Amino acid sequence: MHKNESTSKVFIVSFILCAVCSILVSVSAVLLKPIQRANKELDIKKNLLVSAGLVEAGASKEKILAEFDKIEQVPTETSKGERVVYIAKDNGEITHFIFPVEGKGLWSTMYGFLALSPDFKTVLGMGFYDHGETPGLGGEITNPKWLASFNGKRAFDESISPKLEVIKGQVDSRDESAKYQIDGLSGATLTTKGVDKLIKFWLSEEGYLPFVKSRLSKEARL
Amino acid sequence: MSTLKKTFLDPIFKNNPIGLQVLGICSALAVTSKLETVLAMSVAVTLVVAFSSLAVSLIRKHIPSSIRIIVQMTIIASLVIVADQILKAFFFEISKSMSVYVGLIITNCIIMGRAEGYALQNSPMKSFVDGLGNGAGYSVVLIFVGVFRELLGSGTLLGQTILPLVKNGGWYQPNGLMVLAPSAFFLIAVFIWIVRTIDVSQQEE
Repeated sequence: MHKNESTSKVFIVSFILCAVCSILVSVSAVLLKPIQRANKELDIKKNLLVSAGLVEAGASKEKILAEFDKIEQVPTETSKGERVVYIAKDNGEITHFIFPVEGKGLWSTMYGFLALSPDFKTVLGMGFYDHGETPGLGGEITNPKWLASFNGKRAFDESISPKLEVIKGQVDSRDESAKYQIDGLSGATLTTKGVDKLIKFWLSEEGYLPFVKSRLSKEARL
Repeated sequence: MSTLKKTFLDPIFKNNPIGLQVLGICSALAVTSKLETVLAMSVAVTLVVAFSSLAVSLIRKHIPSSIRIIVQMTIIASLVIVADQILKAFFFEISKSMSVYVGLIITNCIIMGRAEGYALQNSPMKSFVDGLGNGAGYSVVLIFVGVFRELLGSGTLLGQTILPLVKNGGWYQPNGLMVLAPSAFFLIAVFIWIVRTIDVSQQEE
């Protein structure tokens, strides 16, 4: 038998190899963690601002941080636990309510932001910052052109019941409900359904509807 | 020196890992719909295959043959994790768009194929160069596929509009098949066809 094949040699080689490899992996993970975390936080802030149309997609780090600092954060209860609603202001006037949303797509949980106007009626922007959908198909949920089709749509009807939805295929612009509807992504039916479900969920009683109603009634009293 | 050059150049056309050996097809389907991710994937795979071959070759005289596959897997997996961490730290946008496919480099048959088929029998220097060459061969095919898929599927190259799309007021109606994975099969087949027509010795009986 070759000297390499003895049991002790097998153990020694595998032990040393594992030790070396685990040191390599853990050192790189630990050393790079702060940079990765900073990247991720910056990315979430950037996506929040881009979703609401407050900065351009290519904005610099300084601009993102400066803009983000101006935003007020209000915690609120939902059926999924506490969430933070972001309120953007311009000279003291509220310009955007930005709601963090999440939901299952085809493969993954999609995380994003939905921005509504101060009266909650109009959608001012939509964006996703994290998902694992198929690149080129479901992954198109991050396509700025598709996201732009949310802008100006109506989130609620006159009696503040949530109406916004993503449909399969194209919206018929002659239809009365067109103002609540968004074209589905072709080739990504299940991801589209997921987006539709997450929008309906977060605009419902289980999501941010209580927050919306309390805000509106407070305003009515004033 | 000329043998090293040959070791590097051979895998690019003469003995291309995708073209001749038809290895590493999965990632060639998955990440080639945009050229930017193709380039990142090419660099990542080239570095991983080169360094894994180097590492395997360095310890080749001490690897018991009964556990050699596991030893190779461990080395490759560790390198891929390091590559993934580096991408996440310094190329965040690209790593986001490649999502799970960085981790899947581990399962790329080319890397293990080179470790098992070459690095175990050859010196570290030669193995490293062989790894670079195979990475380059893989990259050539990926770039070929990526250029066609992005250009014909989305009318852009590296995100720059080349063919203005009808939906944006241009004239080009994109080919929907090109953004889907099967189109990579057709393009790889075309690549293999071209290479084997030029180099008849690669044709099979």
